[in-house]
Amino acid sequence: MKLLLLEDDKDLACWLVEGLEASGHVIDHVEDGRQALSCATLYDYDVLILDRMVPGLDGVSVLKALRAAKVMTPVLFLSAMGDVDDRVTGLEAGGDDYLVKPFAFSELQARVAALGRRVQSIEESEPTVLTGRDIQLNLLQQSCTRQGVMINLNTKEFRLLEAFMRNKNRIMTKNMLLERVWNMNFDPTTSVVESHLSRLRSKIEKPFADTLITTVRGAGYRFDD
Amino acid sequence: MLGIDLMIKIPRLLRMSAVKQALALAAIFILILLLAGVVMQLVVQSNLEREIENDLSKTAVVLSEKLTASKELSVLTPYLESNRFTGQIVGFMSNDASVLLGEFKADVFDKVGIRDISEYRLFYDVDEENSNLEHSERRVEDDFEYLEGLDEELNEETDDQQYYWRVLVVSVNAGYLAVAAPLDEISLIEGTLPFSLMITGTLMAVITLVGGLLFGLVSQRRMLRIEKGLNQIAGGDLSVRFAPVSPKDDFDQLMLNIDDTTARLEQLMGEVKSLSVNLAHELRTPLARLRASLEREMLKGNTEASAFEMALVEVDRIEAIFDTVMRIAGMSAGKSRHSFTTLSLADLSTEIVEIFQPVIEESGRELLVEIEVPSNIKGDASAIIQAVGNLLQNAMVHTPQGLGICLTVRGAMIAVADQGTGIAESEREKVLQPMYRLERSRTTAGTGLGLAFVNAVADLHRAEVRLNHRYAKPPYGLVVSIDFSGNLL
Repeated sequence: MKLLLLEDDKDLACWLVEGLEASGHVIDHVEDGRQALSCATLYDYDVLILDRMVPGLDGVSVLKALRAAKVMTPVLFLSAMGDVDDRVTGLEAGGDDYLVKPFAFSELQARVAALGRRVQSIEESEPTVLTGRDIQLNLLQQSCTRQGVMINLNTKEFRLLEAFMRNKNRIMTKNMLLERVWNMNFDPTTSVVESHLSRLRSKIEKPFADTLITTVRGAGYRFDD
Repeated sequence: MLGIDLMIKIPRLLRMSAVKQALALAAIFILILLLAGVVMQLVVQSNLEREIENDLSKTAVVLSEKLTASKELSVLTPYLESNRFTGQIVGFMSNDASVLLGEFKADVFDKVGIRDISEYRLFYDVDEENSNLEHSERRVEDDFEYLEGLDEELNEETDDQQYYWRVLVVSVNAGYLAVAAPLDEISLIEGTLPFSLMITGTLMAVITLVGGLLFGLVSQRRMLRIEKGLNQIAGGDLSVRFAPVSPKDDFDQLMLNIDDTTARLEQLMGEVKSLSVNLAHELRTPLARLRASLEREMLKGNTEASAFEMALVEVDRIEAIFDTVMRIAGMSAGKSRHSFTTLSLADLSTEIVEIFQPVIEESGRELLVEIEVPSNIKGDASAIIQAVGNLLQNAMVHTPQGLGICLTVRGAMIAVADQGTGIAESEREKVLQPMYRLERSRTTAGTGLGLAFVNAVADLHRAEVRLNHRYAKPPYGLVVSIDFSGNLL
């Protein structure tokens, strides 16, 4: 994907650029908000990665200006400002995701990937049934079937599977799952996600003796289609 | 409306210093007035009496000189009737009691000197023809009988000052001379003076009281305003200002002082806030860099990868501590109170169970839930979930496998009970402070901030955290309860 990075910390930026290029992305790097604004308006990017506290024009103002100019590129905020209020400010200004420093690179990778594909899925109409391999999730009826067999899932298990199936073949980090399924921006105990995932797996994988969701060590989990 | 308003306020008013002052002043006024009245009365009374006595003496002297000079009783005639100016009246009795002039009864001349005699004892009943000589033919004994009869009838009236006369009896050559003056002047004063003083006093007392009450009401309103403002400030709103228009009295000065203090506090809080924002940035950025370089080394496929992994774990742990500290600080500042929503403890506990039951069960323990009459409160759902999560996490650490952890919701109270060794009473308060660790858990994982976080969430919700033992003997089992009764809907 084509990415734009706004980050004034040279070391961090260097590392990010290296890492993202190694993952196969093409990335432009700027250190000043005004530069970011002009680049994002002139060129087409898949995802913008913006730091908030930068010289020139701060990240949130850049975003507001872009949205005012009808530039709808997905934006991921990368910031040391990690308060609940800060997060809310960023998302309300039009940001699509918010990652607090320090973060794991895999986290950034997974989220950028998730944002990038989103543009395309917006063009499709909102589905009522999610399918992946031989499993089906009916969103209207809140039911789950695999190979014709009805599987009984509780609310959280359903939402967990839904999150995976909306992001097929993409890595979902623990934090991403916590946010989407449990609406939590913190990790109350280290094993909330693991425990629920274990339950889910025992319902959708064990009876069928195979794996739908793979654990990617050091990164997260992935639903393989 | 005003009446009920007043009724509610009056007991409070009576405690107010302004009213107490007014009452004290009123009491002092009345006391002074009473004293002044008494003194005035005595002074005036004695002055008047002295004057009367002087006049009596003067008349007596003049008359006795005349008598001595002329040796004729007729010199007394003009004085026998009541004097137009002084009200004085004169009488005479000869030495042998054969001649009685004037309207006095005979026994007036019994004693020489000055005394007060009631009117009824002083005068004859004058419906007979008035001839001094004929008077003198009356027998003195008749008078006494008459007098005795009268006395019994008029006993009650002898105290009435209005009917008293002051009589001076002097001895002259030919007999006895009596000069009498009415005392009703004095009695007039004796009557009206206390009466008017009473009226003035009552009026003053009433005015002082009413005035005091009114002042009290006014200052109470101002005090209420100050109280309300201070409550808002204590609740976290430092923008409150009283701004008295022009300081006219010490209330206004007080308000000015409070405004100054609040402004300074606001400034300091602002400085602290920007300091903490900068701190966040200054701490997170190097942490981010450290993490990034550690990750880079680890991904290089180094043989020391495991060392880097461990270092990364530590970095993440530092970050978690920092994050929790920032959250706790944020809650202590009461920042998020205004974003409270209505929460049903029933729904909240269902959510908590949904989230944490799998975690507890996967760890080989059981979650037992007891929900009784759950209330609705105002609060921050995610903060409460996180707090209870912390308690459940602690409970898991302290409950042996195979045993159960209890989650209880009763009314506005949420409690988590474990099967551990409990916490001694002496340590219970300290355990809620950040970074405090019981000696035996110093090496266990965790940030040491779990309970401090719970405490901060409780503070934010004006709730109470209590630690108790479940059982009477070891293992005691710890029960941590959060009581949200202060935030009931």
